[in-house]
Amino acid sequence: MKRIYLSAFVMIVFSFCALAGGYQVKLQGQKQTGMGLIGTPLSFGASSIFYNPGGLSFMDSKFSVSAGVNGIFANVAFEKEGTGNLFRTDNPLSTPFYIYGAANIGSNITVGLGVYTPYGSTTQWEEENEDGIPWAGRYIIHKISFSALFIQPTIAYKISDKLSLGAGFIYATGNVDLERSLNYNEHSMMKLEGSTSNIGFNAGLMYRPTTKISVGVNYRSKIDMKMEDGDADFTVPELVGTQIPEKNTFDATLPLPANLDIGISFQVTKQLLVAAEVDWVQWSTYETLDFTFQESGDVLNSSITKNYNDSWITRIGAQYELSEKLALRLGAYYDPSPVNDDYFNPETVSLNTIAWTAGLSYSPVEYLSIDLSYDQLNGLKSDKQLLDENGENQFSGTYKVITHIPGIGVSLNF
Amino acid sequence: MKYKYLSYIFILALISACQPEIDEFTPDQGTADFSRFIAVGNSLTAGYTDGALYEQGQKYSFPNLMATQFGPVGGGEFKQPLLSYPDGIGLQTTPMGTFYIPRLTLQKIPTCTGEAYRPAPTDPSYINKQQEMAAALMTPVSSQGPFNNIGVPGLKSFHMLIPGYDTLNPYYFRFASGPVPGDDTLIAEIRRIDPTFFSVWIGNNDLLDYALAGGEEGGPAHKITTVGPDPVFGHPGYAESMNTVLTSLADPLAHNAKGILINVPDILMSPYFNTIPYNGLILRRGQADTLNMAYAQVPNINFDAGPNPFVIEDPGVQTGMRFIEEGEHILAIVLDSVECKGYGSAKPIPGKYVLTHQEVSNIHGTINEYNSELQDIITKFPANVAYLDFHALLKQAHETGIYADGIEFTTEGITGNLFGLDGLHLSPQGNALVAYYCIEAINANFDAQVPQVTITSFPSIVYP
Repeated sequence: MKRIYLSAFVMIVFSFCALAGGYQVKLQGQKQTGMGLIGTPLSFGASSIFYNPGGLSFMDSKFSVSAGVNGIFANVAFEKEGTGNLFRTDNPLSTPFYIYGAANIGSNITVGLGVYTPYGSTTQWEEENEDGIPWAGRYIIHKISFSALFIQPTIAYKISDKLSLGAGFIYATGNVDLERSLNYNEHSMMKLEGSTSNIGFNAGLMYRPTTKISVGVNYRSKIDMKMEDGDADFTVPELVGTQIPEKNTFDATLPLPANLDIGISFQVTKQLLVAAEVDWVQWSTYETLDFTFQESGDVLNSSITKNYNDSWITRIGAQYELSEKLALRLGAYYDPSPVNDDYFNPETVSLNTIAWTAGLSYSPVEYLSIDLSYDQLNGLKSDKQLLDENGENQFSGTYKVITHIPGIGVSLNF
Repeated sequence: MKYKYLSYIFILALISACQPEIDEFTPDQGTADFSRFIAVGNSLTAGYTDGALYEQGQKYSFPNLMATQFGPVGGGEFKQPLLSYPDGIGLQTTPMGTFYIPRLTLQKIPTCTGEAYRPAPTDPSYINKQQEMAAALMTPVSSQGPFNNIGVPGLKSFHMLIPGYDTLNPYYFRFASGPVPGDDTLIAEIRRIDPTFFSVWIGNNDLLDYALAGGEEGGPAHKITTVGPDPVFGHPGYAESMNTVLTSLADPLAHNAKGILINVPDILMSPYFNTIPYNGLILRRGQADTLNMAYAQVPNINFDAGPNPFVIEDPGVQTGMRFIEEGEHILAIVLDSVECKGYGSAKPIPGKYVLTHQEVSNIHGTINEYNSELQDIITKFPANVAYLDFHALLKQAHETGIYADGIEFTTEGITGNLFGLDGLHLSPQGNALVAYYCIEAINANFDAQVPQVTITSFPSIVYP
């Protein structure tokens, strides 16, 4: 076992990170993560519930159970334009996870249930930088944390040996937590907290024209997370308290965009599997983020321009089965930022990102697999600005991001 | 197990080593030499704010903030004549006379409509300390000079050409270096440290006394001092005065220093002239009816429920009074009388507290004239003088707001962030905004990379 520990750590060290643009997180299976987060054309057991319900029918076993967790270590740096002042995030570790179970119940029908966290991010800027300068964007955002949990009962039907369809119903819950300083005195701040739920669906098909080729198409619907009556707490001087009540409630809507993923895999040799995928993430739905407050709306209501763009993510990945017990994986992808260059807000620092991944699975016994993955995201250095209501720049500078995401999971197939 | 711990440490080290680094900015002085920077101007340059000159306000003066930013590009020491008297010393002219006052702070004070937060002198016993304050203000600090901040509260353009001006203005007297053979004007003081870089912002005061007097003699002008024949309005010497000071600093054939010139904003956009809106008389039906009976003999004055214009004195109309109109201004000094003593409703507001259309147009006309004269002067030394159109910036703050780093700057009193509690001078963040725009203009004009000021590092006003 010692050798496994060591190789696992070596793995983690040489491979580390998997956030997609915006606030989407596609870490729903360690095997897929190791291959550049490609899942649409692949069937790795129950985790197809997320990546492509159509792939469930091609499960090798009657039952499949899979669970895992990732740790996201995101490091954002920002140099304010014209100042040379560097600020960093002090993000807490965030841990997306997944649990799936699937069973082939006969008559070419497979059913399953997945619980997973496909969206989420926490951006928390340091209070002050190394030179003792307070975070210059604190009147825009100090901390924002968003997470969503999806529960997805799923059914797949194998039409023929070559074609399978699958679909799942999504029950989504989410919560958001936001903190911003207010420009009155050093204690003045606004804290918003809200949670909500909504429904959506996830559907896909998998087509295997030959034993070596697999093609997958998957669509996840847009889900609007409508926050209603969230708590809005204001800490303000008494003088301002007549205009801004301490306790208030707010409504806001955060869209989770639709995804259309298309992928293909090819079994080159008995050991080597290669795959490629393109994901169309329909972020252009995110036009504004509107906050409507119950009280003092005339002072507090805001409409923040987002004007996100759709993003096209391209991925490649490969798996090499060294032995019956050990499989190695590598992958890479390019994920262009969906965020509008002119409305780039330090709350969601999503840059054009080049990522590479690695992973391994170890099967001490045939039905069990221990899966490790590492994903490293390199948000490419770029200059961004945030325009104000008059169309003039109000906050600009250079951003760069490095994110490390190690992950561990376990799968049982029997 | 040892290996395991070692591995953990190794991983942690790797993660921390993978911090993204950015180094896009290299400070550069360009064609400018910031080693001896001098700031010439009035109370705005001095850091006078919240109704007084006081140490903390002086430390937030925009030239002092600029001097700090000049540090990495060859800037030198920037000496200011700090006034260490607790709570500072300001001058306030009221109908009862002129008083020394300490700085204003926001205080909950009783008014006729109940308790309210108002800017009020920090130390209410100031009336009993007039002699002590006068002595403190007249205590010379010139032995610590010469100073880099030649901001003199009350300074008008032509004051710069008056020999012996130090004996006429206590704010100048306290730090002036004393007579120089051959030239005893403020210009000699300016050149004493042989400046390599300058800021010049002069002209607001040429108009401010007129505006604060409601355009009339005998009004409540905050006069620092009266200098000989001192026409409060439209002194013809502006072009000559500014030409003299700028030529003495920037003429390439003579002193050849570089610097920035800031133009004259529309002072009537300051909160002081807008605290009482022209139609701020909010009446209920019954109140309107009562007033209508009282004004039954006055044509054109007819009150209604809701917002009404205030009634002002105007000798130009037959009845001697009329409704004030949009675009005319009421001075903030009568706020209490308007709220509690029936000014503008039961009795007309006296003309000395009001700026009528004619008076407003006199002020606007003169500002435009001044600014076009400044344009003419700088065309003589384009390579040496950067120009900041603060007139346009204040207009923008007034009309649409200026946003910087998530702060909205407007010309609202107290919550507008730009102005301090006296409604005429800059808040710390307002000073930082002026420094920001000055540095932007300097960087553009002199091909420099002076590091920008971080506006969010400064407070707005002090809230209780």
